[in-house]
Amino acid sequence: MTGTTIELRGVTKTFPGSATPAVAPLDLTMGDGEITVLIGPSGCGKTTTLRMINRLTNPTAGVITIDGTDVRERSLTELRRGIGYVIQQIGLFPHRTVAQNIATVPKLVGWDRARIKARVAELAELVGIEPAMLGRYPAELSGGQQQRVGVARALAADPPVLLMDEPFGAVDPIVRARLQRELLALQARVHKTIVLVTHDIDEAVLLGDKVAVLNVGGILEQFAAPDDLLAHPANEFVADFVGHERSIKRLSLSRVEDLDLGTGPVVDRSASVDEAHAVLARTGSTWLGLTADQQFLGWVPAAELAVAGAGLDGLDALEVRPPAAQVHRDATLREALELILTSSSSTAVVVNDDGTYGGTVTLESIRGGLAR
Amino acid sequence: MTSLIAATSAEPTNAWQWLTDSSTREISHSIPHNLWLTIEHAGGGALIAVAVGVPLALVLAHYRKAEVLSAWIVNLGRVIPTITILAVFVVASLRNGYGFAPWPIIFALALLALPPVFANTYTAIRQVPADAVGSARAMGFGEHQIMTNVELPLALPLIMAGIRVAVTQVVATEALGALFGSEGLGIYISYGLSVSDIYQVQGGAILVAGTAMAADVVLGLVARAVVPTGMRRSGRRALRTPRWRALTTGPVVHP
Repeated sequence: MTGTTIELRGVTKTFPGSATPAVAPLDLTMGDGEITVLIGPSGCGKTTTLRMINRLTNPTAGVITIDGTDVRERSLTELRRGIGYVIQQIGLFPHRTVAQNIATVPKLVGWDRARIKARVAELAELVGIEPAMLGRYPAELSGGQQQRVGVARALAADPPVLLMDEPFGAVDPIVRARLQRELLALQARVHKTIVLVTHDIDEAVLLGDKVAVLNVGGILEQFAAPDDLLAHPANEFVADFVGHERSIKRLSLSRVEDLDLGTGPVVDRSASVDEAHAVLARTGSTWLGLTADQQFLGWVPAAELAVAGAGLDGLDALEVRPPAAQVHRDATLREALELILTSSSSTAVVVNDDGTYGGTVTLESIRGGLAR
Repeated sequence: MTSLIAATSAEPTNAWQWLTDSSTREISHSIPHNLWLTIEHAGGGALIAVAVGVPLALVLAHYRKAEVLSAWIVNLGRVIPTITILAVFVVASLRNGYGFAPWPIIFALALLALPPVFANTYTAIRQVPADAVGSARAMGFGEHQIMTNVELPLALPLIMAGIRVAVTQVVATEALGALFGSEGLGIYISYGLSVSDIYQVQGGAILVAGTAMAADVVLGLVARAVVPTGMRRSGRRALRTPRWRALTTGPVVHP
């Protein structure tokens, strides 16, 4: 499937009466089905760049293509009807109901009523708007609900491209976090080519497949995947911009399964006492983990094993403490770290999809993962 | 031309008697007849003002083309006395052989109604939320579609307010037409003055004022009917905190 790629080639914007360009010659490729985030301080031309894609602003020089077609070759209205647009102020029509707002573009392009009705119901479900709300007016909705309607309206005619200009800037942090999660879940279903402008590095790192860091005057400082950006900032500006807690931020990006998961100080319950001593000696651990049928059973303090000494027939006889810290393979390192810090064994047990034992995570393995 | 003076008449002893007992009135044509003429003049003038003023202001405001002009027009309307406009139109009409009424009166009233209609429409369109217009444009509305589907409905409450002001003014001013030989409710005032009949003057004034107020009430109902539901202050649910509550309860604590 050939998707929708947006390419900027030498795109420049100088506003009339301004000596310096708002956007310096900019080359950028926004990948098909990816979320590309434009981020930078105010005056970096991120919104201007976004607005040049659907020609709300015209570039002074350079070419922008969508799917290989120059945006200037299509009529303004046709181009814009094929591009969803979400802004911070949302811009819902106060005189139209939620359903009518969502139906805006389908109506413009002349869908029949039955098809519009079906599409509105489908979108309401997709973005999480209760059917009862469809007959209400925007002023009757909360900010978060309004932004959901804004997203539904932008997606109504199923445009391949979605432009979002600080879409969650006007809602409180709790609602923002929820909307961000919803956007990611939505994107997993619809696979749009999304260009999102923000000034919030946490949002950029969370949502972006690729992040473009722009400096004042529209100078591209770095264009990379979020983890790359945090791990290897291209220069001081980017390092400064992404902030001091880069490693902490990266913890939210990497997942447990990305680490080298050691088997840890763990043996099967049927193993001999000698084997257990050998594992403890090798790992230097003060706790011994036991498994049975690939399932993790729990921990035994190494001291108890030593006290029991030679009189012990098998590991079965020991009292096993149930595991407090278990994480799923696809948990973030941040979640794993939280468990490790609260676990007396300083170790989190990794659980595979099928419930079987998948290894352990320790502070050491997380540090090793971030160092890569 | 029919005689304006009835053959016999009794002197009224107060304005109420003059209003309710037609035998006390000296002018032959009935109140309904003159009321209808007033409505015809005022309605005609207001319709012309709306037909010209609203589309003109809509287009100019949409393209931000008359920022200074719109302020001028309001002031111009205040500066030139209506009676002068009326006189000029009537004299011009007589010179060209068209007579006293109704067109000179209607055009003069249209000119009187134009400033408030134009100014309110212009301001109303300018005050339409920029983000609604911006998102309409970004979704692929043409400029014409933005004007008719977004700006006009959103500006309607203010536009209607302007029309109400204009109509009330026009109805009240229509009475001046009687000074220039036109018929209408003003005839009672001007004739009453000429024969020093205070009750007739009072009765005429009550009729003119009553008509103006009635017109305002009717337009208020029209406004209710045409303003989009989502724009109303009191829809099915109150869309905003009532002002009196905001003023009386002090700081509002949000849950």
